Amino acid sequence: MSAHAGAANEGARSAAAPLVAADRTDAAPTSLIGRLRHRLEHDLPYDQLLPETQPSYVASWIYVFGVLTLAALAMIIASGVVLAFEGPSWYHTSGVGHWFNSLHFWSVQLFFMFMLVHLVGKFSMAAWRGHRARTWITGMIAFLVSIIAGLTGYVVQTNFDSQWISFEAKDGLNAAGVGAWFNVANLGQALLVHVFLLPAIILVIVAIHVVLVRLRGVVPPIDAARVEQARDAEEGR
Amino acid sequence: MMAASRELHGVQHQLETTPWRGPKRHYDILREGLIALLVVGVVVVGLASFLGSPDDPALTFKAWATDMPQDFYDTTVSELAGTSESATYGPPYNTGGTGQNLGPVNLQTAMGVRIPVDPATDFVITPLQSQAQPGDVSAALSRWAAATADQRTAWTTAYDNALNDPAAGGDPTKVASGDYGPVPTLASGLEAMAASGALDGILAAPGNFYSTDNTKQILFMGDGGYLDAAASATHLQGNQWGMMNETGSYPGQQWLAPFSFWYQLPFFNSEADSGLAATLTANGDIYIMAIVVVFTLVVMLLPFIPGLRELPRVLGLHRLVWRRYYRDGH
Amino acid sequence: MHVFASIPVDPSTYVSWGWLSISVPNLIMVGITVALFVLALVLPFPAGRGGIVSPTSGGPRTDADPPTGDHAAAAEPPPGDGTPAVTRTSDEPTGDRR
Repeated sequence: MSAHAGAANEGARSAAAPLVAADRTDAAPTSLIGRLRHRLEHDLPYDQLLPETQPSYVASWIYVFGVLTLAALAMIIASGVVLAFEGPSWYHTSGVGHWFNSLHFWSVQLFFMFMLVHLVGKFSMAAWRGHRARTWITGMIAFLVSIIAGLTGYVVQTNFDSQWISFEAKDGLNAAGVGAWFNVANLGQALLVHVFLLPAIILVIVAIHVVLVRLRGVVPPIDAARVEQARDAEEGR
Repeated sequence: MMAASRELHGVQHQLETTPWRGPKRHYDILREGLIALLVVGVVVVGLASFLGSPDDPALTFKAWATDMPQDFYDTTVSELAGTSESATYGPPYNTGGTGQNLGPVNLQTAMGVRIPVDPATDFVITPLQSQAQPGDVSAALSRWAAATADQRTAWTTAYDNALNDPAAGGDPTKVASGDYGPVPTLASGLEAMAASGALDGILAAPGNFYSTDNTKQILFMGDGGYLDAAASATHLQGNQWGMMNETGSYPGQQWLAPFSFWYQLPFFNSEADSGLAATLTANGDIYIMAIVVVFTLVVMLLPFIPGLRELPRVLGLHRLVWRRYYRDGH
Repeated sequence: MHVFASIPVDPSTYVSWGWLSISVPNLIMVGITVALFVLALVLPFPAGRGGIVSPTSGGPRTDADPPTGDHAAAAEPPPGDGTPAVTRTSDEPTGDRR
């Protein structure tokens, strides 16, 4: 039955049927995978996911801080992978280990620095306008999860700093009822959460965040309507 | 006039919700990303190579018992007597305290005792029992094991009170004589064991090969004055903005500033015994956590909050970001 | 404090104004962050190569070719003379996918 309908629609499309009919065919998938494909094809074609152009108003250094944050995240992951292979106490005894720890440390410092500039920049642009609230919210979630990842990172340093931070951080977490499950004094737990769970969550959220940016495009300037109307008037439209 | 404004609003909404059809420029975001990676990589390698990173060695029970023997001894007695911070903490470790209240809500108690810690047994008795001890300590352990709970409490309470009496001032050599049972011997036995370095390897999981949970070590060490003194010396205390600070000449977790800020305020740092400030100080962690959660939600939901979401337009920084577009139209 | 002399810890340098206290390294990082933000807003951004790309120069569209906006613009080389060929396309289908 569906095969016949499909063939009929193919015929209709080749005969240059109205766009509406073609759309109805495309809306037809009822399977989950079909719906996913439909959604991707329609909402996020390749030329929108990987565009070669940007609106001309994308012309400020403030726009590079999202990419800089991603670059710092890449450095965090790269240095973190090396540290993970050698275990949490490697860098206390090895010069090479300490250097890789330093890479990790400074990548994290830059990551938060860039992310903060990115956040304040997007705030100044009110970048949530035009159905872009989800982009803003996923960015905030990424920031919060990164803070927790940072905390677990400081806790798994296995030095004096970790001792003190676990001792201090436990009180706030315990008071909120979270400490019963998320125990910062449990090195084994903190280590696994830090090297697997939190990076996985951050990567997924960042991926969604970036896809949402591409899906909606970069938000037009505040009061762009005035500029565009003036342009239309100038061109006699 | 109003119609024009409404039309402008409609055009603005359409511009924001549809793909941009105005002027565009070539912009290679992949190239931008690769350059960013290169720049960040060079900066990070430079910082790591020239500045390094902080790594002050972990404190040890051995050093604590060696450098501050009396503090270690007194802390051990308080663990046995159930008067230490850990023993009176409450959930999730034990029922020695009630945890913090946010008004009528006590999330800490609601979660129950999930990570059981009995300081007297876990910090003192079990570590002592896990090793061969000198004759007097061995005898003290046997006497402790044979005693009733009431007897133990009578001994430890009497000794804890006598030790902390102004006459003794925490000095075991100045404690008035009394019936303290095996308590002084157990405390000096643990001090000797710690000073030998044996306690460091045993406390986490006595009798076990593997140990991955440091909760007991952290709690025991935090009960004494050693960790506290080290934290004060490095400016890491909560009321010193310590959450953001780092050992050595390195930046710390500055992104915790919105959290750390509240701990500096007088009403979360009060010496008062009663009243609002006393309540807020005693339950400071949960109140500050609640404040931070509310602020975070406000920022996260900013796009939906009328008034606040207009703040960027009022601040006007966007005029700098898009100055060329506003001036030249592209 | 002499009893703690053997504690192997290394304190940073701090500056304080009343209740505010901050370590010098943190202050430097905050300064750099603020400087980056200000410079990002103030410094002129180099214009993309090739100048403005006209959104309507992509040639005629067919019904089978969904109006994506980016599509046509990306395919067309930029105007050689560098003059902005800015045109609005308000008479075209909006391509509103949401």
